[in-house]
Amino acid sequence: MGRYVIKRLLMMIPVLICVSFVVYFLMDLAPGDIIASMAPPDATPEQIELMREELGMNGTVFHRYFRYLKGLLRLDLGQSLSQKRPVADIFFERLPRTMELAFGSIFVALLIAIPLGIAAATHHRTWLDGVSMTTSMIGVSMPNFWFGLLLIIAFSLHHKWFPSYGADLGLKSLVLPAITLGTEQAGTLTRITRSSMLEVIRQDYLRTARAKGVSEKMVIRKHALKNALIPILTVLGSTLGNAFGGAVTTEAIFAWPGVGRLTVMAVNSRDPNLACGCIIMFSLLLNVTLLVVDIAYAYVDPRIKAHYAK
Amino acid sequence: MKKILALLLALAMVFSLAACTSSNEPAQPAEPAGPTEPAGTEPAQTASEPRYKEEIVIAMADEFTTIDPMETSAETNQIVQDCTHDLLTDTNLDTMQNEGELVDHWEMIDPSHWTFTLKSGVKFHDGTTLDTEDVYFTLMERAPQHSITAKYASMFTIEIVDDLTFNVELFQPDVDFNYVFAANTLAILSKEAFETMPEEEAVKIGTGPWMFEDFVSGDYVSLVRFEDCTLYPVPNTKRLVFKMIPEASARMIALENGEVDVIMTPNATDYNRLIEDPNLQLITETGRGQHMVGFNLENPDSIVTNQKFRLAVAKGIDKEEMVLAAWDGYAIPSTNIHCRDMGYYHDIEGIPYDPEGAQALFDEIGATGKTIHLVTSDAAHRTKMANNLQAQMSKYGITIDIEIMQGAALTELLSSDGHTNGVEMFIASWTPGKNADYMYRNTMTTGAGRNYASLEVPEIDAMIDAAAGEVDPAKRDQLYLDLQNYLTCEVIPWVPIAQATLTFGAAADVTGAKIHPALVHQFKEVERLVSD
Amino acid sequence: MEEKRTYDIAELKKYKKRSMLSEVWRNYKKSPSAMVGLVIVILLIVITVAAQFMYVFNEDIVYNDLKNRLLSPSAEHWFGTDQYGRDVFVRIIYGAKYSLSVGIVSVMIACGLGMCLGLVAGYYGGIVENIILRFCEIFIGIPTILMGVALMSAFGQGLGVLMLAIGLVYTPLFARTTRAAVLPVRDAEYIEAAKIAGCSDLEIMFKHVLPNSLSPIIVQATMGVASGILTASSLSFLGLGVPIPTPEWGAMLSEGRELIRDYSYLTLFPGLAIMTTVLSFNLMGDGLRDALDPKLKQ
Repeated sequence: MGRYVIKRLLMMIPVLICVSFVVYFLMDLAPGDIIASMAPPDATPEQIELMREELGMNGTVFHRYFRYLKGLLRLDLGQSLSQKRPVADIFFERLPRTMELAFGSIFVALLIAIPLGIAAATHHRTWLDGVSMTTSMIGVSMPNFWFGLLLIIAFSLHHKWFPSYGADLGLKSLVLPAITLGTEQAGTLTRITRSSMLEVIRQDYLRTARAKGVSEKMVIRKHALKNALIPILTVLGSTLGNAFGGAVTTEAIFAWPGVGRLTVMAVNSRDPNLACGCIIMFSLLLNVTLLVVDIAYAYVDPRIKAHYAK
Repeated sequence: MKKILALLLALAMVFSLAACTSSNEPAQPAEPAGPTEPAGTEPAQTASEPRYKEEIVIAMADEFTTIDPMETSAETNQIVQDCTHDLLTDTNLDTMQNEGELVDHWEMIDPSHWTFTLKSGVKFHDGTTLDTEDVYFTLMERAPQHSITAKYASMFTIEIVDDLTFNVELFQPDVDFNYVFAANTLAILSKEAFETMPEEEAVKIGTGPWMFEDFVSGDYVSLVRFEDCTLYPVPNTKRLVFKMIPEASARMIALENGEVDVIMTPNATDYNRLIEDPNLQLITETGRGQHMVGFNLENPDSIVTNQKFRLAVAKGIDKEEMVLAAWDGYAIPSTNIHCRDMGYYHDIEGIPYDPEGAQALFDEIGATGKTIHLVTSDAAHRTKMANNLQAQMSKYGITIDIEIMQGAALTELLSSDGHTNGVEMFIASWTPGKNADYMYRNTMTTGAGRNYASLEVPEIDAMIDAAAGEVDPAKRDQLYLDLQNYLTCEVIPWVPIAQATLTFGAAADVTGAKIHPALVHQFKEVERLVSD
Repeated sequence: MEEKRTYDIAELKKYKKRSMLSEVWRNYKKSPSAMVGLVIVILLIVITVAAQFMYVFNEDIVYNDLKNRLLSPSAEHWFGTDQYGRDVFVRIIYGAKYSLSVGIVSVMIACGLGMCLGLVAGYYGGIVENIILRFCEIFIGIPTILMGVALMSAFGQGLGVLMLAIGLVYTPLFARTTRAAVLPVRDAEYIEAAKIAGCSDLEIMFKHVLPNSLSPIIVQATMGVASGILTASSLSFLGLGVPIPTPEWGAMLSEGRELIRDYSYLTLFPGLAIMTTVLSFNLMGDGLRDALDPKLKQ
C-alpha cells in the first residue's frame, strides 16, 4: 500500500510538469502581454525592454519557461508579475475561501441529493422517481451564474436575508454561493445515489432480509443505505473538481475572494507565473484528493486492498 | 456505517491539511474586515456636534494589487495610493488646474530651469517631516531603479538648495514641466522610512490623510486615518475600506443593502434607481477619455487609407444614437479630437452628421459591399459601440466584421507596429493624464506608444513640437486650434465619438467622493454624516 | 454474439443490428421523460433549420432600432426587445443554431479524438495505455472552465475556437469512457478469433472492439452536448465566447445580465432556452443509458 501511494505521488510530478508546460505556452500564445498593460502610455521602447528584463519576461518563451521550470523544481512558484508578491503567498491566502465554497456546495449537494436519490430508487418507475430525476436534471441543466443572479435578487435584494457579495459575514455569506454551486453538483450526486441504491436493492442479501420479514423501511435504512453510500463517497473527489470549476463563475457573481476568480484574473491580465501557479496548484489538489479517495476506498473495500498489496 | 465515517474523516483531514498550508500566513483579521452594521457610529460625541460614520466602504470593480506607487500605472492602485501618498503637484478637481500639493509654489526661470519650494511642516506617517532630501531620494535615487519611472532620470536632475527649496534642470525645455510632477508614480516617499524599515513596509509610508492598514488579495484593502495629517484636514471617518466587487449589479445591490457606502461605475441602467431613491445619490462628472472609432493606416492596401473613406465614416456616424446605445445617453458627443476638459480646447464644428453625404462618398470610392475588419476590447461600452457601428454602417452597405479581445491584448495589438496589418478599424479610447502636449505626442507622432492609427506624418510631428515649444500663450492657443482642425477634419485618424459620463453611486449623505476625469478618483475627504 | 455458423455474415449482421436497434428503441420508448427529451431535441433542430429560411443575418440580427429598445414582451415582440431594440424572440430562434452547433461539434471533436485515444489505450494496454491515461490525467486535473479560459485566451474569441476549446477540454473524458468500455471486450473470445483469423489491429479495433463498446460512448456523447452548451455559456458569461452580434444564448444572457433587475426577461428567455436544451439532451442521454444498459433492463 505504501509503495502504491509513493508511486502515485511520484507519478504526479510529470503530470504537473506537463500542466505547467501546457499552461505556460498557452499563456504565451495569448495576444497581449502584461508589460503592455503595465507600461505607462508614454513609455519608450527602451523602457519597455527594461521592464521586461526586470520582470524576467525577456528572452524567448523557451528561455522563460525553463527559468520558470527551474524554480518550479525547487518548489518555487515564482513571483506574480502583476502583484509583485510570491504566487504561493497569494494562492494560499485565497485558497481557504474556495475550500469553504467547495465544501459548502458539496454539503448542500448531499443535502439535496441523498434524500432525492433514495426516494427515486425506492419508488423506482413511479411518479416520484420521475419528479426527483427531473428536478435533479434541472439542477444540472441550469447555467449556475444565472441561478446565482436570481438568488441574489430574491434573497438579498427583496428579502435582505443574506449579503449579496463577499465572504465577510462567515456562514451567512456562504449560504447563497453554496446553494448556487451545490444545486449544480446535486444533480450528478442524486443520479449516483439513485443508481447505486437501485443496484443494492436488487442484491441477494436484501432479498434475504426481506424474506426474513424485516420491514422495507429497515431494509433501506439498515442495509441498503450504507452500502449505497460507498460509491457516492468515491465520486466526491470528482465532485470537488467540478466544484472548483463551477467556483470560477460563482466567485465572479458573489465577489467571493477565492482562487477561481484569481486564476481568471491572472489569465486576463496575462500574468503567466500567477496563472500557471494557480492552475498547477489546482491540479495538485485534485490529484491528491483523488488519491486520498482511492486509498480510503481501499480500506472500505477489502478486495481492492488485496489488489494493492500484490 | 463506521467505514463511511472513516472515509468522511479521511476526506476532512485532507482538506483541512490543504487549508492548513496557509496557516503560517497571518491569520484572518480578528474582526470582520468588511462592512459592519451601518449603525456603527462614534458614540462619545456631544449631541450638538455632527456625527460621522466610523467606517466607509467603497466598492470598486478592479483588483487592487500594490501600494508601491512606482510599481504600477493602473488607476485602481492609484486611487488607493492617492489616499495614502501625495504628489509634488496635482490636478485640482474643482478648477481642473495643475496646482502644488506638496509644493507650495514654483517658478520657471526659463523652460529648462525651474525652482520649487515645498510646504513646510508636512508630516509622514512615520512621524518624520518632509524635506528636499525625501524628494531627492524619491526622484533621483529610487525612481531610476524602477522601470516605470526610470525615464525621468533622462529628463531632469535635481539640486537641493535648502530644506524646502530645490532646483530642477531639464535636458529638454518644457514650459509645462510642472505637470510631470503630477504623475502618480512620482508620489513622494520617506527617505528615513527606507533607511529604517524593510522596503515593503517603507513604501506604505506617505503623507496622505490615510495610512495603509491591511490588504487581502482579491478581497479588500483598508486604510485608517492619519491623526497628525497637516496637509489635509484629518478625516472625520476613522477607517476607509476599498472592497473589490467585480460585478456591477452586485455592487449596486450591496449599496442598496447598506453593505457599502460608495460604488464605482454602476450600470447605466441603475442610474435612475440611484437618482430616484431618496437614500442614494448619483455622482457624475464628464470623463476626459475620448472614445473613438479609429482607422489603422499601416496597410496601404486597405480602403481605410483613402481619406474619403474616413471622411465618409465620420459623416455617416450618428453619434447621438451611438451615445444612446453605448451609455444610455450619459455621454457628450464629441466634435473635436481634443478632450474638452483639457487646456486649449476649442469648440470647433468638426464633421457634422450627414448620411446622404456619407452615402455619396462611399458610392464614389466604391466602398459599398466591402467588409471592414474592426477590433475592440471586451469593455461593455466598447462592444456596445461596435454593435451600433455595425448596424449604422450596414445601412450604407458596409459590413463591419468585429473581433473582440481582452483589454491588454487590444492595447498591445494597437501599440505594436507590424502586427496590425489585418486590422482596418478599431474602437478604443484615450485618456490623457497630463496636458495637451502629452495628449498629442503619445498618440499622433511617428512611433509613439499609443499611436493606434500608425500615423507617420512629418507635418503633424512638426506641428506638435511647435505648439509645445511656444512660450507665448496666445500663439500657442492658435497652434493647438490649427492642430485640432487639421486632425479632426482633414487627416481623420479617428472619428471622436463621445466623452462618457463617469459615475459613482453613493448613500445620500456621503460627501467628498470626487470623480477624476482621468480616473484617479479622490477619496481624501470622504465622509458620511449620521443623522439621528 | 459469439455464435459462429456458416450464415452469410453480412445478412446476419444486418439482422442483428436491426433487432438490437429496435430493442433499444423499445426500451427507450418506455421512459416518458426520455421521449420528452427526444421530442424537444427534434423540435429544436426543426426550428434551427426553419430559422435559416425565415431570417436574414444582415437584416434581422445586425440591425439596431433604438427607438424601440427594451420593450416588454407583447404580441408584436413575443420575448420583448433588447437594449438595441432587437427582437429577442428572433434572436433566440436564430441563435439556436449557435448553441446547438457548439454543443454538437465540440462533442464530435471530443468524441473523435477521445475515442481513438481510448481505443488505442484499451486495446494495446501496457505502456501505451499508461501514457494515454497520464495524458488524460493532466487535463482532468484542470477544472474545465479554467482550461477553457486559457484556451480561449490563447486563440481568441470565435465560434470555431469555442468549439475546439470545449472539444479539447472534453477529450480526456471520452478517452477514459472508451477505454473503460473497451477493457471487458478486449479479452472476449471473438476478438481472439479475429486475431487468429489475421485481421489487422486497426480492423479489429474499429470493426469489432468499438461497435461492441459503443453504448457508454453514446450516452456520454449525448450528455456531452448538454455540458458543452453549458460550458460555452459560462465562457460567454466570462466574456470569452463568440463575437458580437452573434445571438448565441450564453452571450445573450451575459449581455442581458446588467439589466436583470428591470428587464429580467432579457436573461429569462435565453436562460430558459439554455436550460430546456441542456435538459432535453440530458433526458435523452439518461433514457439512452437505461435503454442500452442491460443491467437496468427489466
